[in-house]
Amino acid sequence: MSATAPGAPGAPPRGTATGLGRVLVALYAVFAVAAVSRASVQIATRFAEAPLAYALSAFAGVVYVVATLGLARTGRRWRRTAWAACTVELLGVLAVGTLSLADAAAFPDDTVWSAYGRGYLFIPLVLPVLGLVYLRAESRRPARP
Amino acid sequence: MSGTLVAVVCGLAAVMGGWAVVTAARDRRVGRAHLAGLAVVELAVLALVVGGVAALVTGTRPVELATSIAYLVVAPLVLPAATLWTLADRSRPSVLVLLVACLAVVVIAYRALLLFQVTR
Repeated sequence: MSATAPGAPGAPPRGTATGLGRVLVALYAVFAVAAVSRASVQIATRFAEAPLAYALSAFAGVVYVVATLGLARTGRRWRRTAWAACTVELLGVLAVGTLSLADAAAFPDDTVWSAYGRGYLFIPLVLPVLGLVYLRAESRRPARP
Repeated sequence: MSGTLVAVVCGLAAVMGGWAVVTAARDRRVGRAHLAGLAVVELAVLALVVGGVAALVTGTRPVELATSIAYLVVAPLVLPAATLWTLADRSRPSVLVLLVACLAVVVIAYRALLLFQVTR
């Protein structure tokens, strides 16, 4: 075990010190890039075809960016931001997933959250759950200086 | 876009991702050998991007042109970004960031192949 292991006495306090936290931030970063680029392309090239789906696509992108920042930064405010972003994300993927299956006409083109993120190996559905579980575990740990 | 090259990129990235897992499990840090491995994967990715650009220049027009170009732009940036992250933050779990990046490369290469198959 190295002397600078996170969590060891004397180690600098870290908000995302556990393996899950670090990997989560990386996964969120990948999805932030993927969702924002996809929404940009959709809105720039064919917004009129499905305004609702593409607006939701852009919204999903923004939520991923906010969640990435919230998880990556330390401090009470960022924690709260992360809680909010992960919650919105979970509600979003459930709502859009259900809508896209129930009213396929409104979603002629896939978004990140269509069919509960089927086009993305259902990672969009798993990610907010992991995020919330991680934030809960983090909040139960003894307060750091 | 060459299917063989996509398979090579996916294979190399998968091996590199597995290596990152083993490294984290053994509580080791990223060393020179990892950087060499990452460079090999990155070279394969660059070859793929060059192939994609060549296809675009010689008249291949994917239906999703803007998305295809975005994939070619993002693909070579993923591994360097993850490598910088791993080197800047030398804690045990940060090695796993390489795994996420390698999986992202696999998905990007595969989707790029699909994108370039649907042409006008």
